[in-house]
Order: sequence, then structure tokens, then C-alpha cells
Amino acid sequence: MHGLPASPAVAAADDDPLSAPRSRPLALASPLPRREDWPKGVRLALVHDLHEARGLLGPDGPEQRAARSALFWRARQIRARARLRLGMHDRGEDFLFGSADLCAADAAGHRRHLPLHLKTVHFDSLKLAAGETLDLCAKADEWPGLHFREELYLWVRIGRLEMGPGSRIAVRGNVCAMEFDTISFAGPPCPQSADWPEIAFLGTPHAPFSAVRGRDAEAGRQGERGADGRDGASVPVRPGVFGPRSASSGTAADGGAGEAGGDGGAGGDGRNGGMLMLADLRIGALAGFGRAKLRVLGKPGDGAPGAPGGQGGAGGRGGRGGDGFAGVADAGRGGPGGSGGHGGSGGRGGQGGLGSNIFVSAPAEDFGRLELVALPGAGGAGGPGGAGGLGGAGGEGGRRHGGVDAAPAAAAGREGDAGAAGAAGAHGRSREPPPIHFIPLTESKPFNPE
Amino acid sequence: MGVREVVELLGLDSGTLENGEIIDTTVHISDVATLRQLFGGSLTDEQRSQFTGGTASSDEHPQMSALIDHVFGSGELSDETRTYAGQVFPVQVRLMAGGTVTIDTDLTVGPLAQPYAIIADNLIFAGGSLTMLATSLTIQAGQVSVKSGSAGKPYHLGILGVDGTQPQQASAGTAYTQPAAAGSNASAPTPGICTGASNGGNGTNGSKGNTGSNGQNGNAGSASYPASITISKFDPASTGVLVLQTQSGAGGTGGQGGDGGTGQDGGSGGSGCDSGCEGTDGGNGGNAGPGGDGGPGGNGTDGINGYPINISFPLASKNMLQTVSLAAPPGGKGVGGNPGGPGNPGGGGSGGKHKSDGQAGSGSGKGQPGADGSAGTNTGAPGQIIPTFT
Repeated sequence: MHGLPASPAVAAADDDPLSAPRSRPLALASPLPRREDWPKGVRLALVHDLHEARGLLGPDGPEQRAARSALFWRARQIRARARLRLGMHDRGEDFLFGSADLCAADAAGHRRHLPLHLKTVHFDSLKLAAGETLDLCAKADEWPGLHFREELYLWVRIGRLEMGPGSRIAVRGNVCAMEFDTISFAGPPCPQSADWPEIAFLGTPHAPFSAVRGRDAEAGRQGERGADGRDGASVPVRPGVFGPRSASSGTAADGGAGEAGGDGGAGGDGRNGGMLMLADLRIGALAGFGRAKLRVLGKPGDGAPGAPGGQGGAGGRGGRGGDGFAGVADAGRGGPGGSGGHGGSGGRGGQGGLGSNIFVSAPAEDFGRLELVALPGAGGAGGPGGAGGLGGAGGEGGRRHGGVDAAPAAAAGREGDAGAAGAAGAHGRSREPPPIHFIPLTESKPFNPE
Repeated sequence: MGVREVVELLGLDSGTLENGEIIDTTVHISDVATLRQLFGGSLTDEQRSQFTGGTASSDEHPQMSALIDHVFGSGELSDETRTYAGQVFPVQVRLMAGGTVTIDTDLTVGPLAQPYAIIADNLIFAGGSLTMLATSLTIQAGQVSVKSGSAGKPYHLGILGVDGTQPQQASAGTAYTQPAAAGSNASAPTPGICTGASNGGNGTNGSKGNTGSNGQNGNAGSASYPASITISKFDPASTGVLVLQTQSGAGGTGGQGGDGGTGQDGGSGGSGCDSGCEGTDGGNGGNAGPGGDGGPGGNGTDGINGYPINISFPLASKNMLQTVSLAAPPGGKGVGGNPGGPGNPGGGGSGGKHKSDGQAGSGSGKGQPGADGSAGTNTGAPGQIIPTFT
């Protein structure tokens, strides 16, 4: 996949030469031109007022706006968001694309997003070759210093779009308005469905803000190895005129127990899938499709997998028993090995991304040439639990000095128990697919995949 | 006593010697008289008196000193010492006895060895040496021949102590397991809103690293032990003199002080409020803690005095005996521990959306090195070599 500036897509010869598909976007200065005078090519603009944005991005005519507002809150997930502060974004979009008024209580929140960062793609015509994917996304790094999570807007206005078999336009996480006078299919009259052209509205490439999943999932730290047990003190032996001797009696000290290994850390939770922002696709006519269809795909981002839990640390080795002395002091026993640490639990998978409305308007007779596919963002897989740490080896038994036999004279310590494996993390939930609404250009005809 | 008499004294089968074989075994001697006979049977009263007079003070138990003086010197065996001997005996002695014993390798015995006895009609040094490390020795030889010297030792007979050792370096200053307290994270007063929220708190500065432990004093050496050597004849066909060298144990060098611990890491700055749509600045990180000071080094110990050595040698070959006595030096000073390095400065807290991250804390310096310990002061006197020419 590639963005428009690097795309081999061919613009018509009458396009603005400064806006050839391979050139960098050009910034527009304020005041912005009127909608009907908007320059060709790929442009970047700052829109300082929501009313101005409404005029640029919204559909023509009160009927089309009313139809969008009527459908706007139909999906359960969008109604649920209205109770949260997040709902101010939906209410703002209902104003931009529908017939709703601005809510005064949202004004402060809306101001934090102004000016809106808008990318425009304006050509009289564009051809996509067979199998070609064109990424039209506005990206934060196209505006220096812009926070990567800032809401970005995309307006595409192309007179004639010719799509080859298997070609695709992809938009990731932009609030998007797309207008085409005509979309034609340049393929065989009866292609396989896999070769149908596609316009895909996808989730943001980055995870949404979350107070609890603020960073990419990191594997749980490995538990530290337990410290080895202290070796038991041997009976002190020193040279003597009449042979080596020991002043001690009794028993040399046993080896100390190995320390238990540390538990592995829990794997981090996967981040939630990127949110699919509102898209408004407006098509004047579809031509040349035969038995093919234009597929309109809506799919928020998948949740990221949870990270694996850390492995439990190995138990420490038991200490060696102290050496005894023949006839004076018994050798010490080896210390037991430490238990292995338990494996950390795997991180939970991220939830599938949230979805916003996708509006598709076209002539009613073209509805049969559309395939509207709404897929949920899949939940991320839970991270595997960390393996339990190995038990530490038992300490060697002490030896006995002062005699001919120097073999181990005391029992070795027992090996430590292995740690238990950590539990796997729960899989993330997938969320409802984004609602895709079909609105005929003459009358409203909702399409709801639910 | 001849070889056969000694073997029979110890209850061994003297018939083994008939075939020219060497008896190489460990014998258990259960009474003081037999041990005195084995290790000092050939000593004259004068030699015993000189041993008693030449015995330097030692840290042995008084009754052990008395027992040693009785076996090798002229000390009487008191009832108290006899009772004490019950704790020491039986004594195991490594015995090598035979018609001809040849030493053709560098043989080292000790330091945790049984007393050693060589009883032979002919004792031949043929490119080898015998080194006794803190091990008692008796040699009774009818004739000694020196055919060649050792390639690795400057003597044929070495009566040596064991040098003191340097203890392991003391433990380093305890490391911090946690950085200093992090600054508090700013939180949103209400979900999604950072208006009115504070910036992230500043991290706490790290503390100075812990001082290393004191170095241990050097481990004391062991003395060179008594030896009684009786050589009736020196082979005139020998190619060189017989060299007897002694040196007691040197003092041990003091242990190095523990290294200073690493300074504590500064606490990280707290995160600014981040609601997704707005934020506040992150807090600054705390400064790194300076490194800890090294621990002082341990003191060296004194050299140890050696026990006397009696040697009877034929007067006619007096010039063929060469003795070498070396003092045992005291142990050197233990050096101070190395200074600990500074901790790491705390990182700045992350700023919220459209806000700045906090600045990292500043670094710090190393600690001070530990003071050196003192060297030992006294050298150990070599055991007095008491020659008697017969």
C-alpha cells in the first residue's frame, strides 16, 4: 500500500501540474477558498471554524443532511458513547454531516480540536490499475509538531474514478468525505468477487487513548533467580605438629536453603484497536460494473495481542554442607534448593476498535452494484502465561576430613519445586461492526448490517 | 635405631624389607613414648636441650607446647600434659621405610598432613626434593647421597611454614533496590478533562550510595614445624652438598575494603495529565545519588616464628651440609575499597497531549576511596637449625 504522493495512480492530463500524484501536498493559506473554487491536487488546510468545515465536508441539500441525522444515533455503540464526554465528537460530526445543531456544552471540547487539520485530494479524474491500493490518509506528520493522536480530516473530490480489478482505496482513521461523480470499473463483465474494486474505511493506525492501556504491551519481566543458599561452615581444621586437628566438636553446619525464584511479571495488556472515524461516501453514478460490485468495507482496527507473562526465576541452589572432621564433628547436610518462581500471567488482549457511522449515498438504482461489508475489529489474543521457574538444585552434602574416606558423608539437599506456569490472558472482545447506512440520492434507504 | 628396629617398634612386618621393598604406609601411634622414640630416639640430651631453648613462643595451647617439648626436646611429661595427650593420641604418622629410599621428584607434604617419617639405610636425592609445609619430619638415614639437585627447588630439604592468605574483598555497600520516590502522576479531575489538573510531580533526588564493609585482617600463616634429622654418613661420591632450607609462614595481607555502593537512582518525574484531548506538563526527574565510599582495608598480620630443627651430620663431611634460614615477612596492608559510582538520574515524566515532557535529573559523582589498612609489623623468625656433627 502507498500514499497518494508516491502512488502510480494516473491523474488526468488537465490536472494542476503542482498537484501531480507524486508531489508533496501543498499547504493552503488562510482565508481558504470557497468549496466550488477549491484547487486541484493534494492540499493541506487548517479550518478554524466548524461552520466553515460543515460547508466543505457535508453533503449538499437539507434532505441529505436530515437523512444522516435520522440515522446517526441508530447504532447502540454510538448511542452509548453519547453518555460519555467522547460523545461530543459524535455530536460535532452530526453537525458537520447532518442537520443537528452544535451543543453549547461541547464548545470548550470542540475548541481543543480547532483548527481542524484537513487534507484534500481533488482531481478531475483518476485511474487505479488492477490490484493497486491507494492510501489517501491524512497523517499527523504532514503537519509539523502535530500530536499523533489529533483528529484528522480528509476530503476527496474526484470527478471520474476508474478502478481496475482488485484495486482499492484505503482510508485509515480519518474523518472522511469522499465525492465521486462517476466510479467506473475497468474489468471483465463477470469477475470473481475477489477482483471487485473496494473502498475501505479502517481504524486509525495508532491505538486510541486509554488511561489504562497507555503503551504497547510489554512482556512481563523475568523473575529473578533466587540467591544460592549459604554454604554451611566447615569445622575449622588447622595444621598441627602431631597432624591436623580441629578444636570443634558436634556437627558442621548444614547448607542454607536456596532462595525461591522471583515470580515473573504479568504481561502487559494489548492496546485497543484503532477507531474507525466517520466516513461519508457520495457517488453520483456507477458505470461498467456488469456483474461486479463496488465493495464498501468498514472495519475498525483489531485489538493488539496481550504480551506474554514473564518466566518465573529459577530457585537458588542449596548451600553445600560444611565439612566435618573424622572422629570430631559430623559433616553438614546440603541445603534444599529454592522453589522456582511462578510464571507471570499473560496480558489481556486489546478490545476491537470502536466504529463510527459510514454513510454511502448513491442513486437508488445503483444500490445493487454495491456490496456493503461491515466487520468488527477483532479482539486481540490473550498473551500466554509465563513458564514456571525451575527448582534450584539441592546442595551437596559436606565431606569428612581427617580420615582416608573423603566421600560425601552427609546427605545432599532436596531439589526445589518448580514454579507454576502463569495463566494465559483473556482474549479481547470484538466490538459491534460499524454501521453502514445507504442513503439514496432521492430518498433515504438505510442499510444496517445489524 | 636401624630400619628393622623402627619397623618392629611400630609393629610392622620387617620381613617385607628382605625383598628390598619400601614400606609406605600410615601407622597409628597410640602413646607418647613410641612417638618420642620415633621422632627423637637418636637425639642427644644436648640436642634436646637446645630444642627446648630454641623454641619460640607460640600461640599453641600450653599443654600442647609442653607435649611438643617432651617429644622433640628435653621437657618432662607432667601428669597434666599426659592427660592432655589423651586427647591428641593416637597420632597417625606417614612412614616411608626401606633399604634405599630415592627422592627423584619434588615431593611436597602438607599443610594438613600427618607427621612424616623417613627411615632408610640409604637416602638418595636424585633430582628431587622434599618440602614439608607445616608438617613435622623425622629422617633417620644411614647414608645420604646427593646425585643431583632439584630443577625446581633451591634445596633438598625444605622445612617450611605456610604463608598467611589474603581474605576475600569485603562486601560492597548494599545496593539500592529501588530508585528514589517518583513524582506523583497528575490525573484528570474529571474523565477526559485536564483543565485545572496539576503538572506531574518532580522525582526525589537519589541518596548517597552505602559505604563498603571493612576489610578483614590477613589470615595468619602457619609455623614451620619441628624436624629431627639424623644422617650417619654422607656419601663421598655425592656430586654436591646437601641443602637444608627453612622459612616459617609469612603474614597474610589484609583484605581489601568493600567497594562503595552505587548511588541511588533519582526518582522519575510524574506524568502529566493526559486525557486524550489535552494535557499538562510532566514532572522533572530527581538527581542521581552520589556513589558510596569504599570501606577501609584490613591490616596485615605478622610473620610466624618457626620451630627448631635438629640435624645430626657426620663431622667428616661437615662442609657438605649447607643450611639456609629465611625470615617470614609480615603481611602487606589491605587496600581500601573502590569508590562507588553514581546512580542514574531520574527520567522526566511524560507530558500530556500538546504538553512538554519533564527534564531528566542531573548526574552525580563517585564516592571516596576507602583508607588503606596497616601492614603487619613483625617478621617471623626462622626455626633455629641446630646442627650436631658426629
